[in-house]
Amino acid sequence: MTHRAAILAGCLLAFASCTPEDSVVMPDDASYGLPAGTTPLAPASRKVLEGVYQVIDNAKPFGEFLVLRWSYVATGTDTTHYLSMFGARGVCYFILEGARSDSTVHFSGYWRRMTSFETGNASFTISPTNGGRAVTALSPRAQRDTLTITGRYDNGNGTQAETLNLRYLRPLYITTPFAIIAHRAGGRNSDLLPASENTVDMALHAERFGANGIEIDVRMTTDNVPILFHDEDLNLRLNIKNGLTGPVESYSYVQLQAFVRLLHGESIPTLKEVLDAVIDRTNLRIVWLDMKSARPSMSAVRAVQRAAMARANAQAALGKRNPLVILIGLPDEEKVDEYMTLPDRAEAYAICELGLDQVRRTSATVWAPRWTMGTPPADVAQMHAEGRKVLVWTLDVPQYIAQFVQQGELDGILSNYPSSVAFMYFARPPQ
Amino acid sequence: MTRSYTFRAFLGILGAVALLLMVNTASAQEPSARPPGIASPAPLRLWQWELSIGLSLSTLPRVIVEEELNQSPALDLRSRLGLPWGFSADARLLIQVLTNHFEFGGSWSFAIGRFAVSLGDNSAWWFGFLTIDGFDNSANGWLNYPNVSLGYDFGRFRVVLRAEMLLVLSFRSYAGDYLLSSDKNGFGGFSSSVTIEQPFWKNTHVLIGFKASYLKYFYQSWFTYETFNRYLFIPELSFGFIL
Repeated sequence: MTHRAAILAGCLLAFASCTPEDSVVMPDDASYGLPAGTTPLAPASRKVLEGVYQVIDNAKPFGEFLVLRWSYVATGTDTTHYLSMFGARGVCYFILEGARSDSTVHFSGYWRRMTSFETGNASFTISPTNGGRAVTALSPRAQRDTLTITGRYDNGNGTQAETLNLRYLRPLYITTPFAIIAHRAGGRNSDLLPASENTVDMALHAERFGANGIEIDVRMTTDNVPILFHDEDLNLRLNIKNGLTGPVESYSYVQLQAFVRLLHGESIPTLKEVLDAVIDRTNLRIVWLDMKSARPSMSAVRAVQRAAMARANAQAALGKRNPLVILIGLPDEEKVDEYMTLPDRAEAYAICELGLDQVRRTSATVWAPRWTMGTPPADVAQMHAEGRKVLVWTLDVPQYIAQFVQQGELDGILSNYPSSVAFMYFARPPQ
Repeated sequence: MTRSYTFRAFLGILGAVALLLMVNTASAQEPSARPPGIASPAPLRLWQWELSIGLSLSTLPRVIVEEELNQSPALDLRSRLGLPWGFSADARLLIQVLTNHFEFGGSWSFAIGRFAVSLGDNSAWWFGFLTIDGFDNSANGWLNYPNVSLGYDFGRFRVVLRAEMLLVLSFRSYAGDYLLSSDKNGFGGFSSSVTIEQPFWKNTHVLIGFKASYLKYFYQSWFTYETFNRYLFIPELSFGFIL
């Protein structure tokens, strides 16, 4: 009897000690969808809508201002454009698709607050008299002073709709290029996003979250294929239960493909697969390769980097995309030593996380100090004087992001919350 | 989500109570004097002073720490001093070096037969610092814990159930030269715990406790600068000798 009770008690304890799998259910209420018979917006119409908008009612949930910015994902010859709205309150964003019917502009999609489970449906309209006529004209005019977007959102399927109306305030703050780099190709698994971290699908989401660059974690298989995987070991934080255990780098690429699926069902991608998707399907400008491998990896990664940059910049020369910089990360002395053996390192691009001496020794293009040190302004000025850029990692605290952005000394921020960085940067008042 | 966590916490506490009672039964000691009480809400005699020393181990949620260190034991000192009219002054120090938590407050207790109940309120000041390679950080803050305890005296040992709320009064952190002052005046979560005070060896008594917390903010994770605004499960085991 005592034994049975002990087993029961043990089971209760074990059950209570397991945190249930958290998830965010993507809202999909059809009543928020685009009306039938709409047609895509022209590129010039999309462009004229970008800017900083003032929330003219109901500013409490998302903040007083929203930043509106477009991005796209290409699939073969088809391209889908997304209008993202970034707010200040609780790391929130909207991701919408837009279309027109006559002189009315429609948007449909969802919103999300990344620090919590909050999400919901959203739809917006620009009526002909509120600026829709000007936006949809053959030559859209920048009569944005009267541009008003009216809309509604809810807190999930079946919940009551709230109104959200915006008025155009000013253009986006865009001066010197500022790197907004999304961690792990777009976000961590713990942020409960629609794709697993370090995957092609996540990289395709990154621009919708406000990023213009991504950071990805590179490891090597036993047969020397560079793959993306953050942790040293296979584990249930990153992959579905599969019977394999131990270091991910103790398996061949074929074994990983056959047996391992990530949390959203994806296979572990190769570095080449992700870079190909970035080049062909996005307009991202920066890829930061965080060299996590415990095995020699620099030669193989350098070969992939060289080929990918050549292909991306050939496309950029034709005006098909932005130029792309792929930076090889140097997180420790071991990787620095390995990097120094590259015969063509003078042409390689590197991002060094160590001290200034190592930055100079490696001729790294970018210095990336950890933000937790604070940023010594003298060192930043020195790096700039030497023609290098300075990025900090991995910064998520909104107050700090605001502080760093307002100081204006850095060239970019790596964050799990690129939408926060995008809001802080683009919403800055003109100087 | 919260309802699910509460249900799990309830089951966990039931399991913990049953397990600890069985451990107690299995390791039956010879009858001893009525055990002193640190966690117990039983009223103390005037100026009666109780003290315990032990260890406490919390597990930080995987979503915050990922691969990094998620468990770090803390030296756990508790004290309770009997005051007039059923009041007592309570204090607890949790020392982890990188993070330290000094809690003090008071409670009012009364007993009905073998049952005892106390209502209390504790405040805590905590501070942490991290100056290893790549970090130049420190933080501190004020917390408040309104609490209620229910105890039952089985004679040879006592079982204590306790529920407490966490109110985050203030929080300040520094990175290098930068100061971030972020007042978080608000509800930070809730905890429930079960503790057993029982004889251990001769006249020595020990306390064994399990605490299940559902917190939006856990001070021991300050150095991760996590920004989640959602309840995370944090288990804590504690063991102490009552001196």
